[in-house]
Amino acid sequence: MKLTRVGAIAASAVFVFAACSPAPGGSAAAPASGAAAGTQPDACKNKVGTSTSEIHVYSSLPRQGTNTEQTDTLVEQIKATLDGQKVGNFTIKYTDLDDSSAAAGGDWDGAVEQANANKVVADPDAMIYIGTYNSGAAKLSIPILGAACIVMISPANTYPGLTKAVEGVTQPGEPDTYYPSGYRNYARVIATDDAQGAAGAEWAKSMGKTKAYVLDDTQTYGHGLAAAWAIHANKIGIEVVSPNKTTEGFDAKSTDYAAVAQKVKASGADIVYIGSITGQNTGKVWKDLRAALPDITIMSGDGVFEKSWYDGAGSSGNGTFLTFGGVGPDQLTGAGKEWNDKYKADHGGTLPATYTAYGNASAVVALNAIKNAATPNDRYEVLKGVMGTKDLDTVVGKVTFDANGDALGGSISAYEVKTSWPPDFVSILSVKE
Amino acid sequence: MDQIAQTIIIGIANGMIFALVALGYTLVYGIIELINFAHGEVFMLGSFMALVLITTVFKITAGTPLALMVGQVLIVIVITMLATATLNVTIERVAYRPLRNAPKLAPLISAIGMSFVLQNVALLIFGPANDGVDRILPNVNVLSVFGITNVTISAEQVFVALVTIPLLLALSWFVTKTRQGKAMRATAQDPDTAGLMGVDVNRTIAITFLIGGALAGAAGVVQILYNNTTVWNLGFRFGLNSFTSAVLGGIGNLQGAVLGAMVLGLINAFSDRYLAANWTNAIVFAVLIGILVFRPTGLLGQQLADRA
Amino acid sequence: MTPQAKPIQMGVIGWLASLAEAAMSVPGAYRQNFRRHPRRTIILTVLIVFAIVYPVLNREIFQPWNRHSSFPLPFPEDAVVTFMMILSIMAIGLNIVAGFAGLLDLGYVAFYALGAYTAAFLASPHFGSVSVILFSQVPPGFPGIHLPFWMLVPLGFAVAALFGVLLGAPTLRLRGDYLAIVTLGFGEIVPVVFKNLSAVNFDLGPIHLVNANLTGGNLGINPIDPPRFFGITFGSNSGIAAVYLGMILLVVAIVIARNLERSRMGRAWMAIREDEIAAEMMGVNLVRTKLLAFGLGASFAGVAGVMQASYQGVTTSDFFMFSTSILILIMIILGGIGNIWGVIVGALTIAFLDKTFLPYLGQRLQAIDSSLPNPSQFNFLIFGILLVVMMRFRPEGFLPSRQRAAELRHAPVGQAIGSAAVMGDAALASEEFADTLAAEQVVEVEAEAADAADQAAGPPTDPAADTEPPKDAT
Repeated sequence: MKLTRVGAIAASAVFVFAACSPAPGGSAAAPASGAAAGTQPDACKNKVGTSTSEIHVYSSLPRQGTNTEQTDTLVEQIKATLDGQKVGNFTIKYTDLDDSSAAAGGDWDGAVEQANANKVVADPDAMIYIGTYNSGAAKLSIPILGAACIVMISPANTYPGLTKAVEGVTQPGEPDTYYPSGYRNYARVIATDDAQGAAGAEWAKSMGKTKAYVLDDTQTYGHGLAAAWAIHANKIGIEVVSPNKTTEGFDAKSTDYAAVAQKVKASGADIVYIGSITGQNTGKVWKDLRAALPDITIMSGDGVFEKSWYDGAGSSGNGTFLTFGGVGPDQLTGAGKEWNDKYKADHGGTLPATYTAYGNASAVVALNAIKNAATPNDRYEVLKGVMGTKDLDTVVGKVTFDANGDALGGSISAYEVKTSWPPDFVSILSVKE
Repeated sequence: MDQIAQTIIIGIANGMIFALVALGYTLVYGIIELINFAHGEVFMLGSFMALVLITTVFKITAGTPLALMVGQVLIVIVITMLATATLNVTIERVAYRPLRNAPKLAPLISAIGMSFVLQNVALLIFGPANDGVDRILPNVNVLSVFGITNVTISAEQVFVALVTIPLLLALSWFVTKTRQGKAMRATAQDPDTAGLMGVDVNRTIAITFLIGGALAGAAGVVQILYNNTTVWNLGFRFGLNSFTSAVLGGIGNLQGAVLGAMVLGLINAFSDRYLAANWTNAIVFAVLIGILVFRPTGLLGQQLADRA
Repeated sequence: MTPQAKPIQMGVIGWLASLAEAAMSVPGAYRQNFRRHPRRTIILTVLIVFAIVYPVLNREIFQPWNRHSSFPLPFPEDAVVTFMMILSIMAIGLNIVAGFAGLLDLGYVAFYALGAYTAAFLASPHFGSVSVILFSQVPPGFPGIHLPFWMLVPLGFAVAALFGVLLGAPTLRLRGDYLAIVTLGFGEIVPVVFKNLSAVNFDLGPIHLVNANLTGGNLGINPIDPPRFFGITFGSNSGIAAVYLGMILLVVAIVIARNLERSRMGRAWMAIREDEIAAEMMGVNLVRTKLLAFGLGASFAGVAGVMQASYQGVTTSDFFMFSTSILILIMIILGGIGNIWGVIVGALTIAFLDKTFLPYLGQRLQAIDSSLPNPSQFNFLIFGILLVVMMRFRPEGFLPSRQRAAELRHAPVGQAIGSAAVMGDAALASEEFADTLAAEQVVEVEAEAADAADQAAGPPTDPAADTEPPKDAT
């Protein structure tokens, strides 16, 4: 009896929703038209700060759990570069926002990322949003910021679909779906997965490799990088022998990869490519591969370009070829070298973590845009400044953004781990588009 | 054929480690009907302890003379087993004993809480990345003695068997032949009656946790010497597999846990080798659900406790 | 189909009538409540009024204050408040499973994922080779399947309930702790399946799939259409509108859950929670009763998932982790398992701590001295300790249901103080048994049920149901 009424309530909830859904033709995501600038987008009209003394810059990065190793140094760099800087009458105030939560196991949480973006949008003095760390988080905040003319500079997003369409890697509709306001408000100082993957495949080719087994950690970064590597390898005549000529995922929750290594061995591959970040059980993956295949060439990307990866993998990490999206910390020249030396001196000899230099570069791009803006507290002026960054000297080399907001002519460095960390520099790889 | 033989060897070696951890689950479940979620974490801390002992206290490396190495490894095993046994008994005292008479949900939730505490303590101390040690045992194929080179049994795999099998036999002897073992079985069947018969129930339960913890410690050492690496969430990974093993074999049943562990090790290895590595965990759980649906008592049925 | 399918068809008009009736009795019921429990009624009224005006206050006063003041306070943002609503809906659902029926579900997040992917599949350009648009406000010919939010909600509800029943049917006859492990396994499988089905190659008989992208893999699916009513969008960048949509869904969830709790089925759930064997003796059909709890509990998570996907516009397998299941469990335990109001308070508190307060505290500490630790890092350590301590000293939570408190405080199952009384209810719950009861008793039950519905439909009501036998909690 009672259930009848319950059911009726449920049903009528539906009924009520039905009643209030007239359908006048609205529009879904309007296609974004090309690049920024040109004419001033509607979203950017009258977006001038109210304070006469302060400009606010925010960063949104995961600040807990396994992410702190990278993000602590990122925040430190941004803070040192921006906080308290004076531009004309204005003082830059930097705020470090956390986009992670326990509900997400210490990783980025969509709700928190959106809250951060909305918080920044609501602050009339906010000019620049530095972040995110994870490409997935950027998908959420780019459109929110775009609706309010705030530019975002990412030191760490490598997923290509945020800025450009790459066949076989990005999804239909990308990247326009992230720019519903019709203009670009996102730039990144780091090279994308497709560039790094392709450069890595070319490198393997130049080593004379013919058969490759491609593995990934099933995460956005690792999977994207490995897929890009496999696609390019197929194109240039390296036979990809993992199933379906593409990358195969390994589960970071597995206890053992000996059987995976055995499969790689049976495939007759002469090179294994692994797209992964350090925290995905990489120590164990390397050890099991090395145990079964003492002589195979292992190549990987900058997700494991850090000491903690080598500490976990130990001697089985020896003989690994690593690509690094950008100029490696030890190859920096000029300002970059100075910065690197200073960092080491300030941190008891520790080398900067993978993304530390990009954190610094993002902040330098931000500072430059604010300094050169006609009105430093006008969001549109700052946005134009960031998107139009050209030949700017940073610690990762000269930064110039193309129309998509990608750093032009970024370089990919090649490293070999011989018998210890840090690895030995091999060469700068050319970037193939 | 070689490939299949090799996969079986890999599966069994992993199964042995699962077995040592699974016994801890099955002993505790058999006696107080509690899924001790923190057990995997005890194992994880055991492997960290072994890592620290090996790398910084004894400084065992591949270059250490064999006799000395054997002696030191034995000491590492003993120290680690003592430490994890103490930890496990402490957990029982703090988190489970006060809830002995509460509804079942309460200790289970307490166990989940304990598991989170231990995991995060390890995360804070050892950091998020894997910590490793370089291969200590020689990289040789034991089968090459018999002229077989197509299939490999490594020194590590022999070591796993050398530690695991004696421990399993010792446990089996303890439970079936000793007075204390009898007390455990009695308590498992009916704690109230056992108490009336003069069995000190609290002590018996503490001893069960002691044995489970010691086995987890041994598994930790074996894990480090076999895999050469450990990480803060290792307990969760092994815990799920080991608990599944225990259920697969028939929870509360010691032989069942060992059998279940072997089967699970093989499922893992064959799925990794012949299916796809990213589906392995899903397959393991699908097997678990299937077993529970079609044969809820597991492969060998429940022996220690059957009060359902 | 869900068990409510039948009543839905015949009940709409009847329900409208009773809605009108209930609406008219609201002032009376309120006055009655006020007379009976003046203090509680006033507090509740204040709280609810505050909740309703909070988004506006937040936008107009709190956030501007935070921007200009040198001493900002942790006021949750709109997105966080919306998620507080979503998490509360899930807490209410898990409470039906774990709190009412006593079935521990450690993989509750699986149903959340199923709901979210239902919305993602049916309201996004994901299946771009087709263009199916039903009542939805996207231009004709727009690629993909597009259903409006009001259709997604019942679909998410149904899909999650269906999977709940599919999982529950074979496993619910198992002992409680086996169920915990089966659900844990299911919670691990579902996200893995969604993650792995991004490049499916399958060739069996007539089925040929080559690199079929079914789920978008770890990139997930986006953009998902935001909810839209009356031409207003309730998406993540439409400010407070979405917060109110979340609130409406939460209120509907509360009404349904309260009615369920007081229904015959609700009493049967409590009976099996306390003593399965006794309940079965009294004629409660164990499997059917548990299955209903499991399916209905799951369906709440399905609706929450639809809201998540539609609101955020993105869904990926990364959102559905074991930690989310555990966090929901912590919410209901902390708040008071078994008590709807308790679990909502638990959900709001934990979500606030996790998403706003701890990051805020970290920021304030960093502002004082950058060498101070970030408290967010200790999140799970804190929650773990909280669980152990709560189980030891206050297992019934902060706002317990009186029955549950008695059960958890007082020793072995079957001897709980309340069990005799509850068993009486259980008897009523069984239809067969009820038929044999004296007619006046049946009438009494019906009257009581109607009373419950009236109260539930009205605004703030007394949290502790009058139908519960008075017992001392401590």
